[in-house]
Formats: sequence, C-alpha cells, structure tokens
Amino acid sequence: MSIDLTRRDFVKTAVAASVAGSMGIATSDEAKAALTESESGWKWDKSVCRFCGVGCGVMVATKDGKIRAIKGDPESPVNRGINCVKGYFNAKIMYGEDRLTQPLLRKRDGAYHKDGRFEPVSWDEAFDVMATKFKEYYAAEGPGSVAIFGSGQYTIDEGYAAAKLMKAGFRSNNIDPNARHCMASAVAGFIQTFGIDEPAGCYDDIEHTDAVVTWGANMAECHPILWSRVTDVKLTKPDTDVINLSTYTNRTSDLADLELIFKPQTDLAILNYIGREIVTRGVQNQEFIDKHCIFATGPTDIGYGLMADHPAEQGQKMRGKAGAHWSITWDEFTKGLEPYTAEYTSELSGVPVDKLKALADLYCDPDKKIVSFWTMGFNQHTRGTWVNEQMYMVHLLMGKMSLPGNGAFSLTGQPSACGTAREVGVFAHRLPADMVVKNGGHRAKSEELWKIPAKTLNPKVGTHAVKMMRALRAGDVKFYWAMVTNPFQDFANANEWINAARTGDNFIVVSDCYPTVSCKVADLVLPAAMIYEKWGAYGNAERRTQHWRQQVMPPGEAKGDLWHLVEFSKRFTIGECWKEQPLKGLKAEGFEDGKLPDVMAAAKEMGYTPDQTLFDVLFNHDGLTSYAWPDPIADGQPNDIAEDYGYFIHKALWEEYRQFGIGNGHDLTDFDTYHRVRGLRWPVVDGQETQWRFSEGHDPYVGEGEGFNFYGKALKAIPEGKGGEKKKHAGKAKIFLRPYAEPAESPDEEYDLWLCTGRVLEHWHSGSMTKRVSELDRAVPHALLYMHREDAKARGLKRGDVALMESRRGQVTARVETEGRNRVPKGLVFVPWFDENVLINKLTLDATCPISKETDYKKCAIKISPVTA
Amino acid sequence: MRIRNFHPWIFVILLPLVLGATVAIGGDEEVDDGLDVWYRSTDIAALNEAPPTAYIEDDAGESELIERAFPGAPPQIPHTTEGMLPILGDENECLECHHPDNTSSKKDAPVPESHFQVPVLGAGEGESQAGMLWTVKSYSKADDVAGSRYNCVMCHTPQATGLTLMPTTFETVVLSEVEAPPVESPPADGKKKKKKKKKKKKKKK
Repeated sequence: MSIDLTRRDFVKTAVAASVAGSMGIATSDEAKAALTESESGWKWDKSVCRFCGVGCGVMVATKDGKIRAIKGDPESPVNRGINCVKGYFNAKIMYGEDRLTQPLLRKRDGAYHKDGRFEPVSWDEAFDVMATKFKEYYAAEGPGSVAIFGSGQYTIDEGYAAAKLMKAGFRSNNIDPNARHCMASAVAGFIQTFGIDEPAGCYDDIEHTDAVVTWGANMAECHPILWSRVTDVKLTKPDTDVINLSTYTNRTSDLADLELIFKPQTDLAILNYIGREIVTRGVQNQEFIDKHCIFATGPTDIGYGLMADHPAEQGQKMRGKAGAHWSITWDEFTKGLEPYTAEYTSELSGVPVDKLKALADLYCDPDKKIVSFWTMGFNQHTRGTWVNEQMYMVHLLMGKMSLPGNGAFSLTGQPSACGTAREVGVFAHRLPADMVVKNGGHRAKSEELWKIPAKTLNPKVGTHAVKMMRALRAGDVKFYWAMVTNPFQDFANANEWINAARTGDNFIVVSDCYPTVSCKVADLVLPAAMIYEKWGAYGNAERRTQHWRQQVMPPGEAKGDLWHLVEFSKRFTIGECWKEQPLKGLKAEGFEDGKLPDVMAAAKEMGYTPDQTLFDVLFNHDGLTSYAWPDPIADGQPNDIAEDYGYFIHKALWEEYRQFGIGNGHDLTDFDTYHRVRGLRWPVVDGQETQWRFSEGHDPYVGEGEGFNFYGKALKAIPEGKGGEKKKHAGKAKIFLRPYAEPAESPDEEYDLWLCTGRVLEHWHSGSMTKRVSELDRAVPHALLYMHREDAKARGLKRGDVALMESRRGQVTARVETEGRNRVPKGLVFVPWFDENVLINKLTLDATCPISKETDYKKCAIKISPVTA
Repeated sequence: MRIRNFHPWIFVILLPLVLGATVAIGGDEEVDDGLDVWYRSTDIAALNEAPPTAYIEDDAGESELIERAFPGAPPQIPHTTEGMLPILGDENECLECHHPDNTSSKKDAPVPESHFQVPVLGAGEGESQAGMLWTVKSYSKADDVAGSRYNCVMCHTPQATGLTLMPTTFETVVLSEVEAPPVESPPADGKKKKKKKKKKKKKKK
C-alpha cells in the first residue's frame, strides 16, 4: 500500500462528503455566534475539554471574569468543531454552588483532631498542620511512610511538580496516579512489546482504515467524539466494517455490522484463536516478522495481584515475577496457539463459530486495513498486560502496525493519562520520558536535570496505587495526599480503605474542587482551582500535547494544585530531607541496604545550604525564575500562580521538563509554540509532529531503508529460552504467546452473577463535576443496575424496583433497568460507578493484573435480591 | 504566602455545609462531620418509597422546547424518547422528525445548518509526513446531516423531572432570539416533505 494511494482515498471521501460550495471557517458556529450582539464583550480563547482521553479542542467565552459559553473548536483536528454533551457543558462545571473555597480541617476544641468536625481554616493553618503531621511520620519512619495519590487529570505541570517534589525533594517513590487503574496494563503491554510507551498510530487511522474493531471499548459513550468520526466514516464509506466485541450490547453495537458478545475473560482465547487462524491459514506477513519481530512468552502461574492470603493466590509460584519473559521459537509459538480452535474458543467464549470466523477473516485478509481500539475492557483485567500483548500479536503477525489505517490502538481514559501520568512518569517506578527509578543511568540523568546531588533519588520502586491503600491499612503509609482524584469512591473493595483511612494512625489530605466521598474520608481538604482557572497542558491518547491559558480566577481561596505542591515545599529544608534516611527493603547497587545516603556534603559542594527549602532548590532557582511574568504569550490572560511567585512557573517547569525527552524519542517542543497551534503529536522533531511511530517516512527516528524500527530501549535484552543467556534484540517488537487464564473470581452458586462496572456518556468518573451540571444530572441522575429481564424476574424484580447487590466485600442498592442503552446477557449485570449514592466499588474485587498492578473492575461475582424496607 | 481577598459569599456557601451535614459514607452509618457530600438519599426505605426517576413524558411535538443553557449549547430533549432509541446505522428516529425536510416551523426544532457542515481537511504547513498531516482548512456544506452528527444522543439527552438539583452560579446571556436556527420556508402546499432518510443499509454478517 502506498502512502499516496491512502491519501487519495481520503481526499476522495472528503470531497464526496462535501457537496455544496465551500463556506470556510469564518462562518462556522463559533464565529457566527461570536458575532451576535448579545455576546458582545465576550472574549474567546482556545482550550481543551476537561474530560476523556480523546482530547477535544474547545473555545471558551469569558466576560467579567466568568465563563459564559463553550463551543467545539472548529480548528481542532481532533473534534473538528463539535463536542459531546459533556464537552459543551464544560462551561458549567466550575459553577456548582458547593465549590470548595477554603481549606477545611477536622478539629475538636480548636485543634486538629482525627475525629473532629470540619472547620474552615486559613491556608497557613492548613499547611502548618499538614507539615507537622508529615514530619511526624517522615522523621520517624522515612520516605516510605508518606504517599501522594495523583492523577491522569493533573495538568502536565502539576504532575511534574508532584513527581519532582516527591522524588527529588522527599526522596520517596510513593507517588502513583489514578491512571494505574486506567492505563497501567496498556503501559506494560507497550513496554514489553515495543520497549517504549504509548500508541504507534493516531486518530487519522479512523479515516484511513477499512475496518474498525472495538474490544472492550464502548467508544460511543466513552470516547464519543472519536466515535462520531467512526460514524462519519461508516456512513460515508458504507463498506467500512465496524465490529464490536464486548461482554454486553451497548451503544457501540448500535452502529456495528457485527457484534460478538463473549463471556468475561475469554477475550484471551478469542485473540489466540485469531492468531491460530493466521498461522494455520499461512497468511502471516513473513517478511515483516523476520525483519522486525521476535517471539516471546513468560510464566503463567502469576496470581491475581490480591493479598497473599487470598485463596486465588495459593499455589501461584510466580507471584512477584510476573513480568519475566524470554524468547521462544516460531514452532513453540504456533504450538502454544494450537488448542485455540474455533470450536474450543466458541465453547469457552459463548461466541458462535461463524461470528468468530467472520472476525478472523477480517484480520487474516492481507489487503484489509484494520484498526483495533480498546480501553478498559482490556486494561482493567487480571491479565491486562497479556491481552494488550495479544492484540499486538495479531497485528504484528499480519504486519498491520504503524501504518495509516493499520494498527493496534490503545485508547486512554483520562485527559492526561498519557501527557501527565505516563509521559511525566507520575508512577512509583518511573521518571520522566520512560525512564525508571531502578536504572542508575536514568537516575543520574534526572539528578543532573533537576540540579540535585548524586544519589538523592531513591532507587527502590515505590508503592503503587493499590499497594498504597493496603499499606495505609497495614499502617506502613501514614500520610496520604490525594490530588485531582477521588480514591475512596474509585478503589475496588472500597469499604476496606475507607475504614482504614478513618480509623488508623494516619493523615489523609484531599485536594479537590467539590466535596466528594474522599473529602468526607479526609482529615484535611484543600480547595483546588479547576481547569479554566489555571494554566495547563494535557496530552491525549494520540500523543497530542495541548496547552491552554487561564481564563478566569479561582473562587474564594481556591488555588491550583501546582500551588498546593509548591507552597508545601516551602515548609521543608533540604537538611531535613537529604540526610540519611531509613528505607525498609532497599537493596540496590551503590546503596547501603535499607538506607538512603546523606547527600548534604555533595549538596554543599553544589552551593546549597542545609537551611534552604525544597522550594528554593526545586521551584525557585535561577534556571526557572528567569522565565518572566508577564509574558506576551499570555495576551492579557490572568495567572494568579505566576503572580504569587513572581515568575512564569508554568513555562519554566515546561521548559525544564521537556529536556528529559529530547533526543530519545519523546521530543516535545517549546512552550510558546503550543499556544499557537492546536496541539502536536510527539515526537516533535524540527518542528514536525509524528503521526505513525516506528514507520519509515512517518517517524524521524526511523532511518532510510529500515522500513520499520521498533526502537524503544526498554527490555530489549531477554533470555534465549527459559533460563537461557540474555540476548539483545534492538529495533525488534515482541510477539507474545499468552494463554487463556481463569478469572480471579467467577460466579458460583451463591454469588451467581457477573458484575461489570464502567462509565456513562453523561458523567465523568465519580461525577463530582458532571453531577453539578443540571443538564447532565437530569440526563442520568442515578446509576442504574442494568440487568437481563429474565434474571430480574427470577429474583422477583422488575424494571424500576430497588435491588440489593451483594458481594463478599459489601452491599449497595440501585434500581433495576432491563431496557435502555446497555442490554446485558443473562448472567451479567452492569452498573456505572459515577454515582456516590451507588458506591459500586464496595462490591468490586481488588484483583489486579500481576504485571501492571491495574485493578480488574470488570469482573467479580455478586448476588441480587429485592429490597424490602 | 499571598492570599487573595476573601469574598463574603464564601460564608454563605460554607455555612450550610458546616451546620447541616449528617451524611453517611456510602450509606452505612451517618456521621455529622461538618462536610456535606452531595448525596441525594442514602436511606433504603426512602429510596423504596420514592418513585423511580421519571423522564419528561410529553409526546414529541406536544412539548415546550427547553431553553439552551447558553448560546451554542446543545438543546436537551423536551419529549419522551420511548420507542425512539437506540439510533442504529440504518434507523434514526430523531431525524425522521427533526430533519429540516420534515419540519415546518422553528417549534419543530429542525436540525440546524451547523449540522450540515463538514470539515475540509488539507495538508498543514510544511507539507510534512508526505503530505498527510491534515488540518481543518475550512468547512463546506454537505447535502445531508454530517455523519459526525448522526448520533443525536451524543449531545441531546432526555431530561428527568422532579430532581433536587445542585444550584449553579453559572450566568450567561438571555437566550431569547439568540441563535435561532435558520428555517426553510414550508413548501407551498403546506404539507411536510417526505422524510429524507439516510440511505445507509446496515450490513449484517
């Protein structure tokens, strides 16, 4: 397939769709509306949507310091002038009457008390108490006792400041984002397969492809604007195939030509069936495989990421070594696929053989361009890393990868799960630009860029998100700071962690904009500014980095999360943090066991003094403060945080941060450029963005004549066979053999139904923003229990009744819905998790993928009965 | 540390939070801790007595339009959608009534002109990526509703009634007469035109 042909195909389509004469951008909705008299005095500025990973551009109208309207950005290449209902109502999310506008501290008799009532306090008192509690734990137990639970909704500068403060300042790697629940399996799949994180392709694949296959991704509700692009392609090029694989019928099915409803967990078998079909039919792209791929596998008895005493963990010998893998031969690979016949797979999955064959026909056709999308159905999976890798297995076998319209495309859930959590490395094991704390070279590079002494950085991987909650319960983590996220509503097996937080010797801080379940669990609540009340940048699912300017001031005393972090850093001296620190379990080359060294001597040589604060060395040195505020790029827009610090801190942190990625495949460009364009997809080299990575002619890192180069550096050296000598496979992608595995918990006689959780279009995550918009609240006021009519009837229930749902971990009630957007098969129910009145995560199981540590929110066993008041 | 001036209305908002908060975490046990989380009801008995969520039941064509939240905001659905959903690739009940070919007045809420616009994509500056780097160059008018706008419920949603809503401080302009969608004159014979349905056949495999 030539690039030119693809381009002609596209142009033809675009022309066919546009019949009448060109009208031009000037008459788009946005511009027309801006001209009407009633909107005089409105100022329009480009920004981005607050919600999902699609990363739509929006235009924001302000007047007299308040947002007045929002429209789709007609110049945005992502959404091309339209938004979904949540996107439009970004305009109203900041204006719920119960915005948090002052710090709130639990007090009794005028002082902090764990069982006190919340009282408004000054920022000074809030930070005083917060620092006192932090120091109480930190001084006694070291960097392992404190933790930040961050977010894929942090702006890039916030995530960067949080990671820098924790890792360079406090020398703790106990920082992990809610993206752990969302993207960790995708990350592990990328790193093991390609050696580098994030998708090869981009959204333009939609217009280039012949077939769109969704796997565990209800794009119509969860990535609505991308789905509008798929819909447009389907309606203007009806020959395009659309296939939906899911455990229940949903809105994505409504457009599909073919729907495969499979039993939970059996996606693992279906992918192996497709792999088997490819090799049995002999249609694999042998030249591509020989030049660019190797085959690999790993241990299978790896457990389910549950606590060690859980029955499902017994006899799982490779718990803790789940990530190990080694190369295998073509014969070993094909032999491993042998059991996955159509009949066996059909029996396991419940999908009829003819449907399986129709799906395999698509993947096996060498002339059919195909893009596979997936999200939480794959990622939130006790074999999440495996199933991601199986998807690459299918695409790599056919050579349908990294080409326009051809690729396996992991969609992201949050607006900056990619840009912040992953690229900045706001994870317990990561540093910016795909570097890791375990790697001495990576630490040294980071120490140099951060201008901190050698061996300041902690080489021991910190506690990941799920482990953090378990550590809170065990009393190992005592200071827990949640930012831009709502963990006590979000975590599976929620009762455990709510009780631990409320009853333990610990201090819980929550930075948020509205009172949430997590605020209720907290000891201290810090009022946060929201998206258009601060400068920021997000990175979307196609590697597009998009910056925006502050539009209005935050209400009351609310401040951006960046300010929360930077202010806190003022209360610690480097003498307190960079002395010798105890660290349980630390074993690393060049480090004494169980200790981080005193680095103050080296610090003094660098010109630092022990009484300097973390603020001085991390956020206020000359390299940063030279970025002056005001700056012409602001064009009159406010920046309360820059005013506070006397320099353009957002720009300064951006320019420092991007040094990490230059020249190693993660190139980002300068701050000002992003304010002039509608985002750019990294790597951005010589001012040019990259649409298809690893592919010659598209990716500047691939040399002439190479065709493809999977140049990611991580995990390229692996044993030749199990226990063999390590061999390096530079530039190669790995085709993994991964078997089917039983789920961690399946329905039985007592708990006889599968519970699957997820989103609805109208609400974002735990609903804290969208439930304050009347249009969105009215659209979906409550989380409903989607249930098959016969399952309901068998339990004495009908549509509209209140039902009691119970798992081994908790119980919660909701109303039964037997119709509507989600049509579930018998044996499975679906409940969205946005509703704090239906805290469905009290029921879910905290099983994770043992490689990625991401929770499986899609499968656990529950029972349902009528409620009698 | 610099703190901006304190607005007196914060007290107005916080006071009820501080005084009137007896709310349970997830409904198990009520604790008065001074912080009101936006729960509606955590009481199972109350939930049982309350009727299930009722959506607007007016028939299509008989309902009053709901005012837009702000200029350009997608209007929400003021009538029942029973029997009208889901929207399928070859069946869109919304367009059967709201396609401008099938409406006779503004009250019928015809699909506006904006929904007929499709982006014209072209190579961006620098002609990078072998000319494949597209940006939106302009918009042109298509002869039917744009495919990207086909999934009506992506923006227009049925609305429930009888809820206690969180009050908002959002303010915008008075919307009367703002952005009235252009309406074609009704045909001379006064009858509605035959509906113009998308000619997309759903392919079943």
